Amino acid sequence: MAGVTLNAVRKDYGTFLAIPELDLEIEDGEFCVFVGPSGCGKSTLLRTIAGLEDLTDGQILIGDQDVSDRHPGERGVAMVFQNYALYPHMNVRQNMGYALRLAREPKSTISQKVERAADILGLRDHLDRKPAELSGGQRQRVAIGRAIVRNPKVFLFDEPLSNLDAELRTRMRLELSELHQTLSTTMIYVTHDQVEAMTLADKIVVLRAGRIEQVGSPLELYDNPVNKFVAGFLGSPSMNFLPATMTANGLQFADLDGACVDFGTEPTPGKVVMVGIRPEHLEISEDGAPLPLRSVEQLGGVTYGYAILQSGEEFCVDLKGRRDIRAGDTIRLLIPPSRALVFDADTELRIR
Amino acid sequence: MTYRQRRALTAYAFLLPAIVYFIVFFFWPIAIELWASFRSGQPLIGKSEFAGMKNYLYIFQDKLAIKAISATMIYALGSTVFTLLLALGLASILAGPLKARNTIRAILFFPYIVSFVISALMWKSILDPYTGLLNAALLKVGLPPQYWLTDPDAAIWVLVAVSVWKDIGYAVLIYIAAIQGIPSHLYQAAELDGARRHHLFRDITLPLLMPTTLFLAVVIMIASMQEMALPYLMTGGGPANATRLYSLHVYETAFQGLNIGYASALSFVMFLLILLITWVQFKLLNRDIRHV
Amino acid sequence: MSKSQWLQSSALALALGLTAASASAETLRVYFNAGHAYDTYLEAIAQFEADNPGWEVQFEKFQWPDLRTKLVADFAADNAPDLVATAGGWVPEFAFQDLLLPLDDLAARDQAEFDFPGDWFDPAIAKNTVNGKIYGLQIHLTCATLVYNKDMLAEAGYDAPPTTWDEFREVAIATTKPGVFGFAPNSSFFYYWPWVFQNGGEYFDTETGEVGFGSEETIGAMQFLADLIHKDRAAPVPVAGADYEGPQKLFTSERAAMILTGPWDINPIRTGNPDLNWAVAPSLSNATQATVQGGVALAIPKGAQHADMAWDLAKRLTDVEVEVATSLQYSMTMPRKSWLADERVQADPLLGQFGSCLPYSKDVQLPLTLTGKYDPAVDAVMRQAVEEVLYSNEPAAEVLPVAAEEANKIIAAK
Repeated sequence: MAGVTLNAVRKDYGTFLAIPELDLEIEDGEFCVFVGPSGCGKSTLLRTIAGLEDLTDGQILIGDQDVSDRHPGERGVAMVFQNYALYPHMNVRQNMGYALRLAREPKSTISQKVERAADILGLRDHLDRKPAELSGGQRQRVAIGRAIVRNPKVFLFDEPLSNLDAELRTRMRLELSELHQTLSTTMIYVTHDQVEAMTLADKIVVLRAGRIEQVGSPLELYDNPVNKFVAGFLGSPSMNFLPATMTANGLQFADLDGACVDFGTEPTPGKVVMVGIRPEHLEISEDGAPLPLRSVEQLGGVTYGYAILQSGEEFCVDLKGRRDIRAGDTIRLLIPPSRALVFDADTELRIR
Repeated sequence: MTYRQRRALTAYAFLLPAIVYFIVFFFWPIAIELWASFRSGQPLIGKSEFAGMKNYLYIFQDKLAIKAISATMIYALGSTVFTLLLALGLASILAGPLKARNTIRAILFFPYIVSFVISALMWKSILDPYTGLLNAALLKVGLPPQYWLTDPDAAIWVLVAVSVWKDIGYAVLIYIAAIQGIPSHLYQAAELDGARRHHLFRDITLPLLMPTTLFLAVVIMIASMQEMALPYLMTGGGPANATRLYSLHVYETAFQGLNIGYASALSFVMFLLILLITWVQFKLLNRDIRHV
Repeated sequence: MSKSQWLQSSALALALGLTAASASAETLRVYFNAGHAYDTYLEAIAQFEADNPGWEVQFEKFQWPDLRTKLVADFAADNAPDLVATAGGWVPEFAFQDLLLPLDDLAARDQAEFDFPGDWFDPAIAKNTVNGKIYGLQIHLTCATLVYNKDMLAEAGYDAPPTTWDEFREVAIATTKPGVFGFAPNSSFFYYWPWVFQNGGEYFDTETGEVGFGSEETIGAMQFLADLIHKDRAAPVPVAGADYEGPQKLFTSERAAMILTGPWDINPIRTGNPDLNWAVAPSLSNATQATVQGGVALAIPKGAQHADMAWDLAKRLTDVEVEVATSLQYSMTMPRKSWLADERVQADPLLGQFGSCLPYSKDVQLPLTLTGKYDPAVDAVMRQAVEEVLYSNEPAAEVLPVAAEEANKIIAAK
């Protein structure tokens, strides 16, 4: 077992700079999630760690060993692919044992290790089947089993759940979480799904255009995003962003008539900012500013109300449990100053 | 008429041309051939009478037929094995990122689109021991000339070589398509499992190309077993009947010898033999590979 | 090539025949050898069409094997042409199958204006006679003999061509030098037989009913050729193939001093190398002077729709004037006595030489063909043995008798 260190890692494809320069420390035994929108470089980064992509520059350490120039098979990493990448001509046993066979381990050892992994994953009865005869979830387990069998220092997951249906995805998410607890091996996990990131990660790395936007635990990022991008990316439903103007008395909102909030920041009168507030942090109160709702979503446990801002953006309010509010009703909202985050409208950086 | 009946009728109407084609040009001739194979005299062109298995039994006494069968087996197996081996090797190189690959593919495919008659005559004139280009070139550089076309042991391999030359472009093309159809993540997964280049070829490429290999093997094998133009044009079946392939023997028996009953029996045996070989190849090589 | 080519072609021929039959009321269908489509014949055909308004000759040309394939398929589909050119041995073979029309009645009818068979050389009639009836009208009668390069022989010190095997061998050795062979043998089966005949051998012995292939004479002939190739190194191994042009090409390009060939090679040699100083010699003799005979006969299939018109065209194509013109222009030798007697023919040195060999020439397979038991498999077996001797230098005395036995079996099975 080992941690992973990336030192000034750079990756370009000809003239396209995929990862400009990146430093990152992943602790031993940590479950680290790379998250970001499509094209942010998260998969490239993972494949670079795996050795499937050559580094343009920089250094990758696994434990204390520099693996930058090593063959993928010699880095001590195992990878689970989005589409499983099971060998279609091999049965489950052969799929899981292939790496061991290449490593010339004795047959009895291979069989023992494969069966142990199969037990962990509940694949015992399917060892002699071909991938085509398995369900999506079983295939995913085989792919994981193939990684487990090798007893790697680091597990790499490349969007492993995105081909599964919603129900199965939730279940596999839990299983992965348990697996991490059982194995306590370092895991690096790539996803564009912030729910997976929030639920699985010890550490989340938010990426955009090949750069790290922020690194931290899920709640750290949730509560204290450094910029509007991170703030908007994590959390479901997403954080609302309200344009506001600084005045001597506080912030004034174009969309919330009469609301004026003092956030305690040093005001620069006339400056336009974006105020971020999560739907669940909004308070409904008779004292609040009026907001007409365009639609209401009853989810049973929670109820969301939606309004459209002048900018055309959507604005979401958690209505706190079941309420008799319908589309077209006007609610009155309060923004608790302690919960609102202020971002520079131009740089999108947080103003504290 | 119900909707179902009308729908069925429409389907049959569309199938009719194909059905008629197969009956007229396939099943009907096979039936005639089978009928003729049990007759002696002049079936089809004159008087004939029922002869039971006589024609089939005569094959065992026909030294030319036995020689033709062994020559045909050498030719068919040789063509198939060498075409597949070479095509596989070339395709694995050409499927990769090679600068000149389109040019090389075009060059390789060229023989396939040249008329077989032209290529047979071309090779005959190149390989002619006395007037051929090859020996002229060999003599120029001081090497001993070849006498392949006049050597009963070598001539069949000349035919094999020409057949490989002819078919390789086609096989390479099919193989390249198949190789490019193998998902790249399989190779990546295998690399992570510790596979080196030769492992990738042995454990991923080769097994996943099995259906393609089977397809090519069957197609090339069947075509080679029926080959007639090549020996007919290049060697006339010689030297010493070393290249008298089965189809040539059947042709000569039927059209030169006018033994139409016996020739029918010979063809029918070949028909059954091809059926059998195809079946065996499917049994041996067919593995269920479905990408998931 | 298809599994059963002849069946497919017969099915096709059947299909085509159905349409052809209905539309060809005034069409005379003629199959001819592609190499023999001489202008003189085309003129005769044009004249035929001019003299018979409303008639059109559909003149189809094929190489011999293709012509035969087409013809057999036509017989099977009952769609035979009206007139067909046939190569050696076909007439008796098809006559035995009852596929040809006897020409005797037509000949008798027109005897006054067309002297057939009277004006034809005897061998030209014998070749086409089965059970006393004549089934073919000979149009060419040819033989192969020795052709030599005068300059090469002179250079080696010989002013005259060899006449015996010993002389031949001496000249062949003397004219051989790097890149040039004294003699270039032909791989075509036909060309082996002058040697057998000259040594007193036979293709088929009608008395014993067996092939003469295992005889001392045949063995001696083949061993002579094999020794010329392997011991004396004065001749190349003949290159197997469907064509018979190899030796002619070597001769034309001055890489062989002597070949055996017939009048059909006169034009290719003349056009291929106009400056070549060459001549035709009488055939060699060892036990006897002999050579092989070839030629083409016209025949009318029994199922021909327009036999009378076909006969009319056949008479025109074998008219003496047409024969003389053809032979002068294309160097082909002809079967009519009045042709040989024509002074224009007599004046041509090459024609005269080839013509002089006709009297001692023999049709190779005729004795067997006339029994109705000829099968090309016999030739295939013998040819294999010859090639084993010539190519692999196996002793003729061992190989030939075995092949002879096999050949006799095939004949006995007929």
